[in-house]
Amino acid sequence: MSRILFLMLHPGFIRYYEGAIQMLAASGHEVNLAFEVSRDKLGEDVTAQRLAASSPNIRCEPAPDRTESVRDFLVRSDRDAMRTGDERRAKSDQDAWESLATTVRLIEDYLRFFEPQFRDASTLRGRVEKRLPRVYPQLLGAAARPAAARRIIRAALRGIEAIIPTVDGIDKFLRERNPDLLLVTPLIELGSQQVDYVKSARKLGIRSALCVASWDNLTSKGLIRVLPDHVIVWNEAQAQEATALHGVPPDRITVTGSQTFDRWFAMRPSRSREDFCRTVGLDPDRPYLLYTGSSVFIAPDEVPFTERWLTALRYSGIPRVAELGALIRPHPANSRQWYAFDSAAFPNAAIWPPVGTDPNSPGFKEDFFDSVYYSAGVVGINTSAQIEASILGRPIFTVRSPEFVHGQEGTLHFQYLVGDDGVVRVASSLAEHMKQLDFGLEADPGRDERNREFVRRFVRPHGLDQPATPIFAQAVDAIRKLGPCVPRPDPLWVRAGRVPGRSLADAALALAEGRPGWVYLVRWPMSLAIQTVALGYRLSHQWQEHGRPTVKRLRRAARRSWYESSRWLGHRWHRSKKKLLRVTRDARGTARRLVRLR
Amino acid sequence: MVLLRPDVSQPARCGIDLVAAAAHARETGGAVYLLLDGQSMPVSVDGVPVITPHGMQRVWLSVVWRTASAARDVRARWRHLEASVVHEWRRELRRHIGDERLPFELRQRLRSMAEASTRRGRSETNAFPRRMLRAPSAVSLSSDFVEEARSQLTALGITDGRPLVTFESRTRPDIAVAVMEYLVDEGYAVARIGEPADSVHSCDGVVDLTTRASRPLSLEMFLVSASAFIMCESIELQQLAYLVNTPSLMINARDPFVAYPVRANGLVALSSAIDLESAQRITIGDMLTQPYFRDLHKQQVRGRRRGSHGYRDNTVEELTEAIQEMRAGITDGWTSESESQSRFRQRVVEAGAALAPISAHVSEWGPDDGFIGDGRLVRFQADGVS
Repeated sequence: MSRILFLMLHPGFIRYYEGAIQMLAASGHEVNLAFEVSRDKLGEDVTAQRLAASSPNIRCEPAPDRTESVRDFLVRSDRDAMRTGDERRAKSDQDAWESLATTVRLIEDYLRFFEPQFRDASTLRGRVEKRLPRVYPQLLGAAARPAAARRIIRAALRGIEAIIPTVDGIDKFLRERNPDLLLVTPLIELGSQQVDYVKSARKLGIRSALCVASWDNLTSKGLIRVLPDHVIVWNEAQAQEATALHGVPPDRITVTGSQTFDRWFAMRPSRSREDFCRTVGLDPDRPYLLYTGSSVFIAPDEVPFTERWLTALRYSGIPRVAELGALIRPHPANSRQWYAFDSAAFPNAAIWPPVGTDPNSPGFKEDFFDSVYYSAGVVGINTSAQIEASILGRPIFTVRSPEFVHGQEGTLHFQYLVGDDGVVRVASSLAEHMKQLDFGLEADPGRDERNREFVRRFVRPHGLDQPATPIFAQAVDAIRKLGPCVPRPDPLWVRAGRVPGRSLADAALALAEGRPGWVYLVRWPMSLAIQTVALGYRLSHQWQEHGRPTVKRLRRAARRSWYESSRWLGHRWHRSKKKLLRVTRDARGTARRLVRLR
Repeated sequence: MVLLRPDVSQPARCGIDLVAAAAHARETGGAVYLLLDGQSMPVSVDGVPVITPHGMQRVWLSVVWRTASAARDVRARWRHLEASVVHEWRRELRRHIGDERLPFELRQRLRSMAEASTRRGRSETNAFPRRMLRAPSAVSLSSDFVEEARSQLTALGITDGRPLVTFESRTRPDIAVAVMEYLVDEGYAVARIGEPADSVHSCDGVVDLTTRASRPLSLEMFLVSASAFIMCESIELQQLAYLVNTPSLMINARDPFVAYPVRANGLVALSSAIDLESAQRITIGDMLTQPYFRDLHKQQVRGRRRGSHGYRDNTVEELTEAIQEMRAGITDGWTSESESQSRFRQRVVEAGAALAPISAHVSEWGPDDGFIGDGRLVRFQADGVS
């Protein structure tokens, strides 16, 4: 039995690989899933529990704790302002190195969006910029524009990345699990810490592979900073992206198809069209359009556009279009905004599933399938639901809108949908969109062929009748069979570089707060001043608590001893005086007697 | 002397500049000198000379203007720097305030220093001069200008036969269409202005100016001045209405302070705010609380894309009711105000006074020395405020 360790950012990534993991487990592999971040926003923890319960060969566990997660890095300045009662933690070596690692990786991600192919992707660049401490964009914003400068900076960053040591906790975790193969996903998150697993695997001689989870992963996020031994992608387009944008040698890439969409080929509607329409609140006698919501990055404020779209539909003046029903399907991870949408204001329009529905609830996937299956066409800004609609052969539409430029022209993956080989008909205005709907909803053999070709190329490159899940499982098994790699311990120059590198790490840790330069200059004197004042307060406390009572006691003792001694002396004096008087009196009496006798 | 260089490319914005300049000139007994490039400003304000300088006087005033604006820039930069230093200073203090190893008295002292710096950082906001804008200026447009604008409107199909309503709506085109149809049915001509609406619908009696490539200052200003009233969503258009003293109905307002009308002939209708956590509609009273403004501020000022609140636009029924109230106000005068409307005004003033010390946004847009405005919240909403 072989051991496969599958490292995921959070349990939400299970949905991309659920079938493949079960298949690997069924064929006798022990699959250990480790999650860097626990997440239950969309019931991901339930998915993990369900998967673990499905086979004794599947185990789910948290990945080792990091001293500083990327999230901590981003909120460090808030965290630094400790709340009363918090324990101030001394900054360790590990903190400094992790800070340097996150900084270096974020800068690399930032630089990639200066490349010519990302010239329209200002929002993607802005997304990284927001995560970086502000000093870096200020320094790099202008310097990174010439390609030669970028190359030099990148080479320097790669050098720094090399000297960052592996994390002891991760080394220990990998040694304990001792996997035959380490799978990682997504690895390309901005400033990702999963890179450390790839580095540890290289050091320990464990074979590693990146599983590219989704169609936008290689173009809209960060870079693969340290190359794993293998990269598993969906299709040739992604293979080219991996080579051109991430520098992955073609011989390390395996194309498997998209296992995520396999169930769309096998599924059948869960109920009749009439039942479905009645359930969701649409007129079953009329065809309807499905509006598929996009993710929060693509469409943060989608409701006003949808309202305009619905109005345009109703007032289009084209009877066939005006009478269409409209079913709105919010993106599961961007559904909250739809609470403000009033579907009752639009005739024959409905929102389904209701906002806030748990994606793990029974029937959720079936509802989605039925929504697409029974629709006359699918409309969306830029979302993977448009790929799913292409699998079912539905006509697919989108409208270019100024508020979504960043999520349409500003992303490379949008071109897969609307480019020459794409399946989505794009309109530059709602008026044009209405005309496209008028003609586009009719049966069209040419469109069906285009859809099939797109699906074959993009989703199932090994053939429309070849499910991607078994191909993925076979690819993983084949990679595992290659056996362990040669351990690659750090060379001497890397170990030597760590001595000056430690200062760099300290600087990165300090700069990660994103404060202006003068703050670092005044911090030390300010802390010194505060500590001096604090010392004064402490001395004052000590004086109040111990000094003053002691002095009081001493003073009292002195007074007492003075009093006692003076009393004693007085007493002695008094007695001496009395004795003296008596002696004097006796002497006087004796003298008188002597005089009298004479 | 008040020197003014209005941005004529943005008619709505230059309206408030003119009103403020005229009000200030009236107070100080001076004149308004307009520095304009190319276009002439077709406005005269009774009691306040509005002078367009020429020749050497213009050169001299331009130099004065440039010097003053450079000084203003330097001041603004200085204020920005000062605010940044104060902010960072506060953050540095906060680093130590939570450190329990420090003596309690010292932490208390640091805390009071941090609070003092917070107060100092907030004392620099420029408040919206509500009191100055309170009295309507007797503004009139020059006859040449009126003539030119009228001919342009005639060419567009708007004639003097019907009272005009200038309508600006940014969202929910279906509601906009229904309201415009209602206005047309009520005997108004409607001119739609503002951002181009991505709607394929048009209705009779409505002239859509949103699709015109350019809308000269003269046209927009004349439209607002010639209107029986305006319906708007933007603060700029509301302020342009102050210039020509046209009654305004602000719709779909999200911020009760910003939108509250200064003039008595102004009405405001608030959007329905939905709490996106609980999916519940929040009350108008809740729209005057600190958590609401914190969220609004994050969305508007910090550019955060998602807030904790979503908004539903005013419905057709609400807007027709507001239009009826506006018509009643124009016909019968603006003297009759319901108990609930004056109570709401008082509530806004009280909320503003409470929030101003802790919210820069409220201190900028809230009550000006206890005065929020003579306008009112539409009656149907005011009646519903508990």
